[in-house]
Amino acid sequence: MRLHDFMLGTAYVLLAAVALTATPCLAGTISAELDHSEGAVGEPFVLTVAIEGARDGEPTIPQVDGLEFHQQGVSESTSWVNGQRSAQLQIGLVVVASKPGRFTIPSIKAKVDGQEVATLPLTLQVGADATGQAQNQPQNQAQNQAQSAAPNQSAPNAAGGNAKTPTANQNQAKDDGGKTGGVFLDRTCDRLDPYVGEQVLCTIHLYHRGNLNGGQRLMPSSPDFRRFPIDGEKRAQKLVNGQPYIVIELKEVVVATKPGPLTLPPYTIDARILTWTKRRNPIDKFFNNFGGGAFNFDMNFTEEQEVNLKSEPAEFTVKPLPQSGKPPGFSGLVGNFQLDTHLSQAKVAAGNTVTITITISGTGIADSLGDVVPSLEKIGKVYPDKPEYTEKVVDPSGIVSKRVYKYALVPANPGDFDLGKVQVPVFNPHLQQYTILTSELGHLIVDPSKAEAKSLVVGQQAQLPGTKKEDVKVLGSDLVDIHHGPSLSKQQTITRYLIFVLTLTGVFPSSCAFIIFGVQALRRRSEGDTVGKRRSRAYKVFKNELQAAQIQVAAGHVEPSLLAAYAALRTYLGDKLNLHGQSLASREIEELLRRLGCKEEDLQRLVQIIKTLEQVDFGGKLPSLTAASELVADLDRLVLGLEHA
Amino acid sequence: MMTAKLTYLLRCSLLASCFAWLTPTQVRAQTMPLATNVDSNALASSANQAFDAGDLVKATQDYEQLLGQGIVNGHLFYNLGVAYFRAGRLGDSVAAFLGARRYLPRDPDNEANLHFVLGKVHDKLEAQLPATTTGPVAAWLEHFSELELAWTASLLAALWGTALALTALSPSLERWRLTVALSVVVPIAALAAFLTRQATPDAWGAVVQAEAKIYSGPGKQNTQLFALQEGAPVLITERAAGGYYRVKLSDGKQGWVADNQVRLFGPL
Repeated sequence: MRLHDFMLGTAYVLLAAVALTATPCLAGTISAELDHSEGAVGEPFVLTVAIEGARDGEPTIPQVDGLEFHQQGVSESTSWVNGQRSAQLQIGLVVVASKPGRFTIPSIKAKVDGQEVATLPLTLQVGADATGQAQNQPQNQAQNQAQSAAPNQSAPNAAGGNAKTPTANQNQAKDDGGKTGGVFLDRTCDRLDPYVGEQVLCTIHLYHRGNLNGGQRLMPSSPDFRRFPIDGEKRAQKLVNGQPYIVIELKEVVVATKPGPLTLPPYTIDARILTWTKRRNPIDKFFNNFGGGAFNFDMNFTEEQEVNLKSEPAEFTVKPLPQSGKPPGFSGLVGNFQLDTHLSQAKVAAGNTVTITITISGTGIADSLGDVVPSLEKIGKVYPDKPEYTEKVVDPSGIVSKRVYKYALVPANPGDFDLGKVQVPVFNPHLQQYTILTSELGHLIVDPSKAEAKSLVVGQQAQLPGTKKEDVKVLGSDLVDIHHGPSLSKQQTITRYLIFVLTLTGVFPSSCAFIIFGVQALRRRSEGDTVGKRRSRAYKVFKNELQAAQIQVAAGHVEPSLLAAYAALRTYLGDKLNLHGQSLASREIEELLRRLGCKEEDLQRLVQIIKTLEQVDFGGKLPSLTAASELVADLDRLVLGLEHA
Repeated sequence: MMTAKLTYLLRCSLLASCFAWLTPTQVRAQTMPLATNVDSNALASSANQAFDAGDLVKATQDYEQLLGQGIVNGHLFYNLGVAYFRAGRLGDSVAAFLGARRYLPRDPDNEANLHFVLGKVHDKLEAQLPATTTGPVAAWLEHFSELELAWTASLLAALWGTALALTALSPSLERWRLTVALSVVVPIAALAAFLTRQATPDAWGAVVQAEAKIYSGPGKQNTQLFALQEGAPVLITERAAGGYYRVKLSDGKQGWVADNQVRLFGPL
């Protein structure tokens, strides 16, 4: 068993060794491949020939009538496998057909690994023009369109015809090749003798050899031309002077603003291009001594550089619009336009709004078109809305613009109205004549408003026999007009300032009232204090003055003593009642005594005393000294009684 | 004695303060700036002339420029409503007339035009809440603007204060003092009316887009309750962060709507 396993394993190892060693003994191969097999005249086909193995000599490139072969590049690599050297060679060729037809590229032969090998023949179908080709091969559409737009690109030094700007631009590739890295552009315009306001499509081709890393279009403004870039770009491959180029196609629309010989400024691009520098690496040099191949370290260095690319300026001869046949009301609209009108509703109640839409659209610029006002004043009020304008630049039509006018018509009276037609004169540069766009607005049926309809029913009822009165017919309903009189700019909301004013207005008078009340109260309180003091001191003052009277009586002076006693009584009553006591009459004194609560018998005695004192005061008979002494004593007693009362 | 005087003064000050509190100092202050543009009168005149000349675009632009200056004026809203309707903007027109109603509550022109434009609105909705919802007093007070009620309260307070001051100054009028003092209920009632009017929500706006969706909450993530057509009147009761209004309809329905679908003239 063990012996069997050992033998089986040994057999596998031997088989594997045979298989590995047999590989280098295989014959070399050669293959050829076209990137595409159908194309147009002048279109490059890339033919790649690959040879694997140790070759002896170079392959033979065949000659075919109608086909040109240009070698584009060769790459070679070498590898070592199990001590055996294996080499691969790739040859790139650009094949260009100079005439249409079906071509066969015969076998390409080479001697590889000591044997003669050959490729299979390849077939090319070359079309007469690019258009037919585009239908057959959509993936080549971009290339073919580039061809048709610039049919003479393959011969850049040839004249470009009437519509093409001078091709000196392409010479720029030769002249400025060192400065722009072989990147250049040219511009072709559809025509150089347009009318004022007519749009001209210009095509710009930017040529480069794969070293364009980006850029920015610059469109210098010009008072003579309006310029509109078309978004997007197309790419194609192209041979120029036998050199393959990548072509980027850009487009712009230019519109001359005035007649005469005018110069369209150059089309300018700020481009970023790459420049390659390949440096030999010391490691490569070392390994190349051993055959290179898999040990190569290709070191490519790129640098970005900004360059300003310009086309040649284009010389235009701009024709003025013809004066003959210019219709009245022509506002300068140039292009191919259509006029369309639309009524929001064909039937409307009086007083309601119907919207009339007038649309002018087409190729050309309609931004300068003035107002298009229908004559509808006889039907009702017309309120124009702000016109809308849209504009877009599309390929290949150029500028497509649309201007929309809207009018709100408020018919005043019921009826069937012919709204008439709208006319817009326009100059068509393709027809080279003026045309008048016309559109009928149609009919508008204006019904009585709902209010009128209702009143009509009432009116019918009112026409019953025996009645003559009718309700007033309502012919329409509408908004009440705007307010002209009142100020529209007066603030009517409650602001902080207004709050202040309102508060001040409301609070100020009442505050004044409260202040007045306060002052009055304070004054009364102050007066009350004075009276109280006077009242409390009244008896004391009386006693002092009466004591002087008693001294006079004791001294035998009757009259002075009685007069002093009378004055003391008056002072007392004045102090007690907050009055001027000395000016009190006897009747007033009696009344005041009653108010002070004097007893009746005391009151009678006091009245008697007062009469006696008055007689003394007015020069009457004096009482005796004894009577005077009693009088003073009684007075003292009675006032004391009053004080206690 | 001094203490007694001070006590008396303090008592008077307290009384005055109470009255001051009752007067419109408690009025909700609007943050809207005063119109300070000196050209606003010329602009208003220009707008009216443009409208009369049929230039609706310029008229509307001028009116809206006045709005942009922060002017809140019923006549301005009214004129804008007419201009909007002429221009075919039904929703804006309804909103403008509703805004004008807040400041010109008894203006017959505005009433007629509001009735007219509401007749064009698809949704069958009234532009006011039923009296059963608001109460009879609030419903009656809607016939007066806040400004009118504020001025009324202020002038009545001024009249009452003047009468009181006269009774204090003239002894011959002293016998009327008690009557005048008791009549303080009149300015207080006017003030109460003003405060009630202020508390009654009246920020009516209208849907300005062809259709507005009403959600159960402020945001599209909520349930859509119903939809309103252009011009439908809505009572705006609240504004939520995120651009949504809480709205109430005359039939009692409530919900939230994006604020760009509803327009309100005047402050919320």
